[in-house]
Amino acid sequence: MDESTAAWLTRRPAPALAPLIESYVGYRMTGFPAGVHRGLPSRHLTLIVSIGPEIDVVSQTNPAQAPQRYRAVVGGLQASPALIGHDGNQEGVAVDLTPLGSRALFGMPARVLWNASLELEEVAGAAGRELWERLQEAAGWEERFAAVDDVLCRLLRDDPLEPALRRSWQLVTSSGSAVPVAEIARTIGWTRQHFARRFADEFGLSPKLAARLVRFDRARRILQRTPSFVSIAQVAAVCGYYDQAHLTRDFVEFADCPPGRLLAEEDLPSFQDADGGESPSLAS
Amino acid sequence: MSEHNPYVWPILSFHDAPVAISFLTAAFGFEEQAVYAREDDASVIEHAELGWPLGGGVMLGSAGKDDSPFGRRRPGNDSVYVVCDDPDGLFARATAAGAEVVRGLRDEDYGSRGFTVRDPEGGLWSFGTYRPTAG
Repeated sequence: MDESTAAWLTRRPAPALAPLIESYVGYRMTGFPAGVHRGLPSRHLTLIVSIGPEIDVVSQTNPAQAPQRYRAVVGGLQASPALIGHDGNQEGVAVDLTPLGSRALFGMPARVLWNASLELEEVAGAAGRELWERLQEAAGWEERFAAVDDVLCRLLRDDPLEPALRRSWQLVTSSGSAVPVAEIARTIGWTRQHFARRFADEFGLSPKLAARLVRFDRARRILQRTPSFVSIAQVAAVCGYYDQAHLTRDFVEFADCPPGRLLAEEDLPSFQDADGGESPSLAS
Repeated sequence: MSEHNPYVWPILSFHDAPVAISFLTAAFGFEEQAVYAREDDASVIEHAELGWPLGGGVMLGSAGKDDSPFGRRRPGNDSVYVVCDDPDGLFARATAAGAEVVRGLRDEDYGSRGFTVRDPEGGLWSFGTYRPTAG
């Protein structure tokens, strides 16, 4: 008993995809107790292709959307967690997509996917089914990553994001904390109202919410990757929260869970925090 | 990166942590793995991890950053030993970057070659080819 193993492997995508995709993460977990995994908001849209058991979303980020099982799920930007049921064994490839990727791969603004989870086939057509099938058959991780590269490169289309909007996303997501929206609008050369409307039309959320989600994402990653002697209050100061209580309020809002409990319940390692590198034991 | 003893990480503190990070990377070749500065005051480093190319590394933060036992530590009293492959090259690099020599390069009779220098806040850094056997 207790023979649980968790392993993951990160890869850079093909150069043509690099502006759209930060990384691929291959993951495999076996022998864990059955449970529920929290799919948290982040600065990315996510594409997760399962290998073996389907992805069982038992609670959607949008309560109006019914629970569903997916072979390959495209999850939009979101401000609340999805709950994914599992029997203790999970395997697949996760792809972090920037909002630019939504247009370039699926021909739609990220707004269309906001707060929604869709089967890849609904978004990308036959290529979505092909990708899932190829990952079931591929022999080993190199072949799996190559299949993801191949299918996503074929989906690439000429649907560029307007430069001003591209710059808006960069400015909002790199500013770290409460953004002076008026200042970013001025930098772009738009009125504040026009900026807010165009941003929401493209990305599905306000600049202010986007900045808060990016800060939450950063705080969560730092908390999960620093030793326990670094306090939550210190991480709050690093990420630009007023204080620890402010950080905790955002965690409760976005993760439905205070930071201490979120860390404690990560018994099943989340592949969302596999930033670069690889775990020691992922044999293909 | 190989994995010689990556399980022990000293936790150091410095009055001027950003300067210390620059010094440790420039003079010795530590590599920034994570540096978390306070957002409203980038001179305060809440936590940093510097990796050593042969494995392992050190953690550090700003002295006086808070009232915790870590924040209250006084810098300059630590002494760290680091395994290196090329003590002569490293000695030249460290002294060129301004490290104060405490003990020059020398061969110990047990077969290690190394040296000791002081960082800008007084901490001692000894480098040598001697590799303690783990476990």
